Amino acid sequence: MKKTVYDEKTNAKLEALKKQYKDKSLSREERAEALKEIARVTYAADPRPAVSVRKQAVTNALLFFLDALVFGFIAVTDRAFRDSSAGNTLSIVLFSVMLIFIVFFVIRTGRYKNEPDDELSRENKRKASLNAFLTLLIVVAVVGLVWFEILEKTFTLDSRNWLGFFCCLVFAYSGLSNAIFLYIDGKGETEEEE
Amino acid sequence: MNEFTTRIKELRAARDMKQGELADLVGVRRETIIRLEKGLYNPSLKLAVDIARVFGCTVEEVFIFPEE
Repeated sequence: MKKTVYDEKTNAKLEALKKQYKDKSLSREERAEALKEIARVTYAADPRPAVSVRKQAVTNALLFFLDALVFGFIAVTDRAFRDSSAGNTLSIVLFSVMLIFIVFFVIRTGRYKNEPDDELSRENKRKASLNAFLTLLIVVAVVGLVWFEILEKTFTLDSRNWLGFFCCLVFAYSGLSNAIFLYIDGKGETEEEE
Repeated sequence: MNEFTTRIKELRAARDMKQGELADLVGVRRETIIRLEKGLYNPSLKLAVDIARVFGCTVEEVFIFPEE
């Protein structure tokens, strides 16, 4: 693997920061600060075009929601398509589409550098994470209420579809977290013109 | 809204400095500087000190708290 080479000044700064990070006599906060500074210095020295924190959140949200849809569809329709060739074909097609998106996503992200989080984005992501969890709880409760009580349908969780259902929830949470972060981060302001 | 106002925009303009340049100097995003200037965000002590150092001022000269 090709080793990244920076100029002398950047290398010296990185060496000093790495030393600080490994120095166990310092407090955890000081060492964490050194790690954040390493990310910032590496980011500044990286010649690749940058992707902002907000743009990262947009692509992450889209990818996670797509994954949630695919896994959710497979989990819900598993019984209907069980042991049918059409069902197996459909599942393979959906997984393939999802894998293609993931590969495309990985290739694209390798060409860009990601802007590191700062204190405001970390705080907004913490808020978004909590709100996403609560939102997901409410959505699952409402969907369950409508599905079981109003529509009087059934849904059986068994050894085949539980993984799809679990993955659907995890990806839905991640997608929601990124979407709510975008809302919180952009709330009450427009792009400032200088 | 915060209980204080900031002079970041004024100090920045006096030095012909863009938001992005200030953001790079203190290690935050441009969005964070925008929020600070509009008084929509309480910075950490470290960030407040870093900004004050960039302008060569004290923290109290950058972040104005109203007299009680």
